Amino acid sequence: MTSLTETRYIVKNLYKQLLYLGRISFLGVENVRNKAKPQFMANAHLTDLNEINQCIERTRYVIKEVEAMHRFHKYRTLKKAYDPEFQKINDQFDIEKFTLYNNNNNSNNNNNSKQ
Amino acid sequence: MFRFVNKLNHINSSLLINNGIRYYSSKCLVVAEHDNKDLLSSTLNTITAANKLGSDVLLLVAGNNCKSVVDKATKIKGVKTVFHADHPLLEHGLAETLSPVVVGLKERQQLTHIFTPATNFGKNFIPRVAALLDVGAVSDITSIKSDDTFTHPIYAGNAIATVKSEDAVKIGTIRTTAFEKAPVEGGSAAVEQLDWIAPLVDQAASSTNIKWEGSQVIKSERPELTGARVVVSGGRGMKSGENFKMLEELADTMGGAVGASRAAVDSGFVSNDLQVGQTGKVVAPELYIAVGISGAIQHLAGMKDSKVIVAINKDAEAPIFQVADVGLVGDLFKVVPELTEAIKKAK
Repeated sequence: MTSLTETRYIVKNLYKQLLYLGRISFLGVENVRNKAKPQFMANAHLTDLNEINQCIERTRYVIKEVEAMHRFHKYRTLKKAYDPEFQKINDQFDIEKFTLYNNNNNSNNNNNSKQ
Repeated sequence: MFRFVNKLNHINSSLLINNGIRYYSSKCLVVAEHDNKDLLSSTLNTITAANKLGSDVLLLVAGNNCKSVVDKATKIKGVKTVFHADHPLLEHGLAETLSPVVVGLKERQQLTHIFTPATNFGKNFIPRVAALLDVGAVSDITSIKSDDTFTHPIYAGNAIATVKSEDAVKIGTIRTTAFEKAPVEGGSAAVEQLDWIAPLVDQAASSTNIKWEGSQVIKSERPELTGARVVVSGGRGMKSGENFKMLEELADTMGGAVGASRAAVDSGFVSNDLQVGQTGKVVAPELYIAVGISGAIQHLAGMKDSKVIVAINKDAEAPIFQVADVGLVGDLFKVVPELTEAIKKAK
């Protein structure tokens, strides 16, 4: 990352990557754009290479986090869809009352989740 | 998910050949985790895993004055033989003294598999046994495909690796949350005393110069974190260790255990045996309540198999809400006591 033009392309690329992640993941491209765009624009005026590089590093980190979150979400969605035991407990979990299925000893939890 | 097969070693041993006799049946040794009085439930999960191999399941109970454990172990369904190794130096399950017993047993019994729970106990001695036998060990097995092919998570659970071990004896630690508990009744195993262990253990102790200094055990009335149906976890948002009392109360009303995120442990709120996550314990309760946890991916890796995830956090942007089934945005210092009260009232 030596010149400003070079970093310009890197940043554009990172932004694209984020949008792509939004598109393929549960986050949604609109959602990601609404969050990422103001942050990118806020740093658009930067001309110091060091500062720009810092921002690039942080964005790369965020992309990794989003990727991991996407995988995690996918894992749970698949589990809920195909794992019978998972399904059973999730279906029988009462959000209003916080009751687990076949509960003899635990949980009767009142509606604090309404808020 | 990615999937790949590693060749661990190149010794062909789909059947074991020993002294010219071919053993077509396989024998799986489960090393029991116990506290010299009771068998810990992690052993039961491991026995279920061992039974999936379709082999004879042998159980090793190594301890000091652990007759009561042996009695209970014989009743577990699916166990064929219980080996009883009694020696004062085996009391605490030290890797240095336990390993020669396991290795000795392997030689005498022509074992094909050695399994143990992937707890601190198992993780402590299994590498030593594997090194002594000069074979590879498979850690954190989550499913058993065949007698030599196992799956286990890699990259903090982001990928599942299918590995095939071609070693003469397959060694592994079993992720307890991935297998059901074996029934504690209905079995009738034979007991075999191991008399030959004493010199081995003594020699191991003297050559490694190891001795037990003491331990600090935190006693808790609550169920074990890894086996609890309900887990209430606190994070950095709890602000101090004092505030964890709130969570303990909530956990007690639901018969659950208390956990913590790494942030809470590093800040010194609670001891590190409560840590849930990549470096801590892996839990899979039916209900997981995350209080004041933002949801770092390393933490999520430790609780992703929880059936229902409830998140309480004051920051609506926290990543935990993206994965939670039920989310509550609010001040935890207000909400948690309310929740506890509500449950108590409902009872």
